[in-house]
Amino acid sequence: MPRIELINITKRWGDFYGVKNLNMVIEDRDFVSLLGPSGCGKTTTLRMIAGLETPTEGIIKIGDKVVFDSERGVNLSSDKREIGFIFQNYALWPHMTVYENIAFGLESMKWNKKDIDARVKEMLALMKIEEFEKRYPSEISGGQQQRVAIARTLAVKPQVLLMDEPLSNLDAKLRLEMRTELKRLHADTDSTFVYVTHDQLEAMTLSTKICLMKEGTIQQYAPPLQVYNEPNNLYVADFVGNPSMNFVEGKIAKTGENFEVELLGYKAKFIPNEKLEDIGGDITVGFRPEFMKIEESGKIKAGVYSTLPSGLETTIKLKIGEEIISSVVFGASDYVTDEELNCSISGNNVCIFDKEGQKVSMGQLIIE
Amino acid sequence: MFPYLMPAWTLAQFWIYLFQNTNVMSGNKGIVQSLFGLCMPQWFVYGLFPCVIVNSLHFAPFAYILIGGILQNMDATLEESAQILRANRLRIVRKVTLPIVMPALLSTFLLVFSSGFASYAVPVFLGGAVRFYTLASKMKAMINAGYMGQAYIIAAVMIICGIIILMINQKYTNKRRSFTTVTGKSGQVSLVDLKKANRPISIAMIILTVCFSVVPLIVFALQTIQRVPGDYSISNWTLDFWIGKDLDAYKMGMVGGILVGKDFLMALFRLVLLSIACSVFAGTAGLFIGYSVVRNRRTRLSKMVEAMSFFPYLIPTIAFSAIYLALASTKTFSFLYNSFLLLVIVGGVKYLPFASRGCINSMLQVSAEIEEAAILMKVPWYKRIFRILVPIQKTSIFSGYLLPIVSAMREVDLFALIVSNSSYMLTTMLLAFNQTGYDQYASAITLLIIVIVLVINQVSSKLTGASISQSVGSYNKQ
Repeated sequence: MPRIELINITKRWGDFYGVKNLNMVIEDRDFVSLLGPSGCGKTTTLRMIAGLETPTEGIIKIGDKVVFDSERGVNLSSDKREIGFIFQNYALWPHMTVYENIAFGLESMKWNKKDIDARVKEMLALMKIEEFEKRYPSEISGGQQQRVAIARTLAVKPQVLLMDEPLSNLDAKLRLEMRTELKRLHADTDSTFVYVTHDQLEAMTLSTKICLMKEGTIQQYAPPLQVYNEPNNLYVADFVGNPSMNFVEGKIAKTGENFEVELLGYKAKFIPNEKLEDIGGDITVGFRPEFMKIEESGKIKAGVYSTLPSGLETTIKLKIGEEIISSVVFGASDYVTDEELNCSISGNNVCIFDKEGQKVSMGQLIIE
Repeated sequence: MFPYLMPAWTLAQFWIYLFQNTNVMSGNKGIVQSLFGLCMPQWFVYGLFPCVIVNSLHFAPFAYILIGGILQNMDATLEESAQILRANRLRIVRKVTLPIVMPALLSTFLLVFSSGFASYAVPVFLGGAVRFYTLASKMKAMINAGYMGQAYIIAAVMIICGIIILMINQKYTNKRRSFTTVTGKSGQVSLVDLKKANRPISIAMIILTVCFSVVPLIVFALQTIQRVPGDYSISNWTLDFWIGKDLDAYKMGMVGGILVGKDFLMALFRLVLLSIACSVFAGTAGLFIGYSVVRNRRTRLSKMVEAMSFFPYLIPTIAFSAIYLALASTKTFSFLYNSFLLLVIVGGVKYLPFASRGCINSMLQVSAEIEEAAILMKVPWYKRIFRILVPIQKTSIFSGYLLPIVSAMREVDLFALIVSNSSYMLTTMLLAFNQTGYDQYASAITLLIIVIVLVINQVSSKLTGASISQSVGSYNKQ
């Protein structure tokens, strides 16, 4: 039911475009993350869906209902859109107790006292905050405030839940914990979630689909693993993943069926996954750190620049010529600084980007 | 902002010029009578009614700055979240907005109340003629008549009232659910859509401001060039009161126009000197108070210092100077009696709350780490203040100095009691002129003071970005 559709949405302040001609469909029960650096228009987009911000142009549909249409002059206010919204700073009312905060929305909907009490108790139990019922927001911790904010939002049973960086005010450990809780909540509530974050890891781990934005336009809108493995362009490839993807300048030329690539002072054969038109000239080659394999048979000679072992895996910075390349080795292993190693680039996920940063091909790279 | 910069009594004076008529009291023609032939009844010209109007107009910008600041600082998401939870406008205002801004509203109300309670100059102008007294003007009259004991009792009553107001304020702002920032960043500002009402409201506000700021200036200017007060015809114009040398009506020790007389320049010089002295005194003390309070945050001593520095604000101005008058009458402090130093001390202490509050706020904005970095380099504390903290916060500290200057310039209440013949100043001279009926002189002085105040404010805001509205605004952030 609650499928959200944005058609040609533009938000402009004077000459500045906050969001530019955005088209997007959020399917029922999706968990969509709007991801991007600050100022990319992700919060603006969320607030436009909520009705807190008025788009300059375009159409927004929630479910079967058109909630905004610039041409027909439709603009439902946020109280009529049947949505829930969790603010970055939670926006709990400081002069109401936890109980009153949660009950407020139900009172607005003119529920009777008994039902309200039952529903508030249910929410308190769900979020495990029963003991704070009579406290004021300033008297509970950040994590508890966040639970109250979620309880307050869920109490009115919204079909769509919009969240604006809800975890960014929490400390690292609590943030991890709440991530789990949010994902569980999504599974339990049957509603559609739209989630704004600048943390790529949060977007990767939580969502069913990521919408990566830059300067008001969508860069890629796809499931997390697809965004990770098959980035549309250099920007997406660089934004997603930690440690980030390795980028090396190179040259490409066609030789018969395959291509010859020059990079890092080596010559390599490039076998594209899909048939590739004739290309040539300057390119950028991108490959993930986990595909930079350290192995005896590797043909690339590299020096260990620095290592960052975490126990679960070790990130190694390798020096090849003047370039620094990251490699990730799983398990607890460490290397000596300045040690000489042999490496190779494995897998068929090597990306070729043209000069404009658009991805032209993916495939396998064999160093000769 | 403009009406707040103008001394309250200029508005009172303006009121008289506007509405005085041949039917009541003085018998001079006012503007309204000259132009329209309308004679306002006595209650409209003198007494309670004009006092209320004039004081309200005077404090309106003050309240506007305070309340406007509160509304601006209020997190818009609090209202947005209520709207998303299906609350209508009325319910949002009633249940969310009002309760949150209530303590601040109340405290603004109390501040204005206590200022109005203590006002002296306005009732003197508007009430004296019809025997309308406030506690403050009554006290002055008693002291003039030599009834010191009774006057001090009145002062004591006023002080007690001030303390009660402070206590009410404390009670309501220090509740369990205190509304100091619950969370971090405050959200986007959402503007209330006034739609069609927008334009008329703005126009009305502009007209109102012009009526009570620009028009009085013109009226004062006109007053100073009339040979016979109240006659607005051009044949009646003269510059004698500014630069005339052989005026018929020179009494009061004035030889001619105020710009040629030595007395006037002395008085002007004294006023400027006093204002600067007060501001140096208050600003510097405020700086140190601010520094020590902020750096020793949460100790009992610092809380006490903070509360103490706030105290002079709540004592009604004239009662405050009565204290010092009493002090100076004692043997030990008799050297203060009638001296200029007394004025400086009284002014400085009176303006200390403004200065220290401003400095506390500005110091709070500088994180302790910045200073700790200097401590690690073994920089002594006075150097840390003047080389690190002051440069960083120079605007707000400068406005801490600016406010006392401007306030002292236009202060009558405070100095009315303790000024003596040897230390008279422009502002008290004005009162004397006014009581003896030399309207031209009084207007000329008023005009000059307003111009000086405005010039100071303009120049300083150009030079440093500090302004009065900023310093007043910082005053309420607790």
